[in-house]
Amino acid sequence: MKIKSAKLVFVMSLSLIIPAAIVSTTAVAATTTLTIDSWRTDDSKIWKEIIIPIYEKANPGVKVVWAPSPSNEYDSALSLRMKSKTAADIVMCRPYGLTKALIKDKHLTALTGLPGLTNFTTQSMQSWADAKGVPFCVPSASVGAGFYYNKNIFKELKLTVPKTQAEFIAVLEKIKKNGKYTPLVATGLSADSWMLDQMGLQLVGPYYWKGDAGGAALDSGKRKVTDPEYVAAFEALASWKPYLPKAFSSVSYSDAEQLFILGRAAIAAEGSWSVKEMAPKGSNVGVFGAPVAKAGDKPYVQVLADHGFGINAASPNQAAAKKLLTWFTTKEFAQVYANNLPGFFPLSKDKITIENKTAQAWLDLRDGAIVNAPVGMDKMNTGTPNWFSVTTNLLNVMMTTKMTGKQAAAELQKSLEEWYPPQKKK
Amino acid sequence: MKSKTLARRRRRQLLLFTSPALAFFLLFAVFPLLSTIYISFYKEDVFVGLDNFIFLFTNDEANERLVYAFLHNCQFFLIAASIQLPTALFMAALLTSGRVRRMTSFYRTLLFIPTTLSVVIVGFIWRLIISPLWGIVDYPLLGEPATALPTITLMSVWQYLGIPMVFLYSALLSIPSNVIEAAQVDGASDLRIFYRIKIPLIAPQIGIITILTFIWTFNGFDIIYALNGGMPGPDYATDVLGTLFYRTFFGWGADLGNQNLGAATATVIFFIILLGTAAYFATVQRRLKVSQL
Repeated sequence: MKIKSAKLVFVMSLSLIIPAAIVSTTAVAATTTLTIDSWRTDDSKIWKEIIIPIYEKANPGVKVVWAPSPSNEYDSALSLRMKSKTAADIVMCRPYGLTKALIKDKHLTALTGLPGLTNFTTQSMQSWADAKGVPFCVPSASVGAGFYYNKNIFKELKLTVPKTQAEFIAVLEKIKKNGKYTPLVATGLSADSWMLDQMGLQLVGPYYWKGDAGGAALDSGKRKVTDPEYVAAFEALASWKPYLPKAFSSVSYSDAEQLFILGRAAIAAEGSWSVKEMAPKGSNVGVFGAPVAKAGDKPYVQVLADHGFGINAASPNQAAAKKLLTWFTTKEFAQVYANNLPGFFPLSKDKITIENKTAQAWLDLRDGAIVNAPVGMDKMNTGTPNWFSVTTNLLNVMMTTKMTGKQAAAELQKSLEEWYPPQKKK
Repeated sequence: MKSKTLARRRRRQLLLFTSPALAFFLLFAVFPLLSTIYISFYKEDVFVGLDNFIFLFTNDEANERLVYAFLHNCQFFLIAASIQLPTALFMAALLTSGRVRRMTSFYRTLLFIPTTLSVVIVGFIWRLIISPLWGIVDYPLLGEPATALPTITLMSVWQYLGIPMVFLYSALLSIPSNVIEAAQVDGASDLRIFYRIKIPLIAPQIGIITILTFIWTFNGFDIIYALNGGMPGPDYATDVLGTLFYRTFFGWGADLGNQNLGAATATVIFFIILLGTAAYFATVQRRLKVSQL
């Protein structure tokens, strides 16, 4: 009896395995399946219904699967999957940190000679290249940071869009005096404090530390965070404090968005990626960039490399993956991408028309402005405690307590001196 | 002869019946634990002995985080134990007292429902309730370092109140009614019966709940992660050992995980819980004898 049942179980399980094996081998024979790993769970619908079908139609025999994981978990999940050789064929690349680590551990395929890469500037490729400049990801999208403003409130209170830091504070003061609206929303909850870096310090800072030159001076150790130009940047951010929503330390990123969308706040420090949420159809919302330090200064605009696409070195479908990545470099892809994901701007040199007016307004901010990348995100992010974690935490404390910009800068300098070689005390 | 074969058969049966549970335990509890300790002696596949532990305890930054996380865990445990246990005891006593004449099972179910909810939902609901923007509290409870951890602890207490309550409820129900009746005949008041008869009889359960609360709070992670993410602020004010481990092992934001250092952190947490539990059993639980009736 016992033996019989054991045999039965064995036969039954075999009968389950064999058809499955047959089915899977036939599937592989008919088509190549390319999986894309990403953190953009929000964009799943657009990828599945619009972008992928275009490629699959033009390339019969290739099946593309969009398999995103949550943004907060993406970095750790991807580096573990790369180590265990279970990552997708194509992976979305973060600028700097994670991607540089993956390149170092040889988890990504070098894209040297990929047709279409000539379509990008060296600057847009540097966040995804190794020390020698060999590219590992196709740059796909950049984003910008700045302010949304509610045009109706501006009209009601007879305000004009501020150009300088002094005008900016004057506008905020007027809204505050009126008392009906929250002048400015930002994020005070510590869990979302990345916002205070990306749409705060890195937004207003370039005027004081003079863009990329200021970043390079910190990277090389020539200047310290406690030098006046960096302290001034911290102080400029701290000058927002009186105009933020009440109980600011508990305002999350989505709370801030809601306050603005509901028309309870006049200005929001935000990014181009939330065009769809912040400026839905029918709303009367405008965009302006960071106010300049003094009248006559040339505006600085941050171009944040947001994501690119690279190939998993362990993927068995290298050729098919390269073909897909080549398509990602084309104007056709850039055009589709820009119109379906407004606020994400293609990094290629092609001339792209953008249908969404608010997204176009974000892009217009770049006209005649000095383009710069965020400070600290490359070299000073490679050790522990890294620049990003320390800065976001300090900015959160500075904005929610009485800490001054000078104190925050001093703390940041102290943490850099602990490990970052060019900044170490001699 | 016959008894010997019987004994052998019995032993075989015992082994047979316990083997699935034993295999499960070995595979999913003992093996991961040992492999965690094993990993903690390595650094990128190179054996480094106790280096990871030395780093945890001597590096200024790492040690500060570890000590703060430990203190936050102690605070978490003390608040949870001092509020959850008396409240649960009160509810259970009320439900078994006969004072609640109707719908006892309805109340019992009602008190247990939050336990069955997802932590993410509990965190989300409470965050909205106490939000100064949309909710009923005009103070940023989650945003101020002094109130953030107690607030989260109370959410957790609210959610898991049902578990100790059901424990104590069944313990109180199992007290034989003739003991109570005898006391009543002797003229003891309800309060006296509760303190002198019921509490001593359920003391072992109270002890077990205390130690379970200790283990749960020191393993605590989910509600803090759900509310405040992997770098729980403000300024690390709600960082506990669980989130510290998560951040070290898996990474957070721009920090990439360090599996070996993370394993070392996990090992430290394991020994803290092990020592706490062992100390408790050696000193307190042994003295709480089940009263003979």
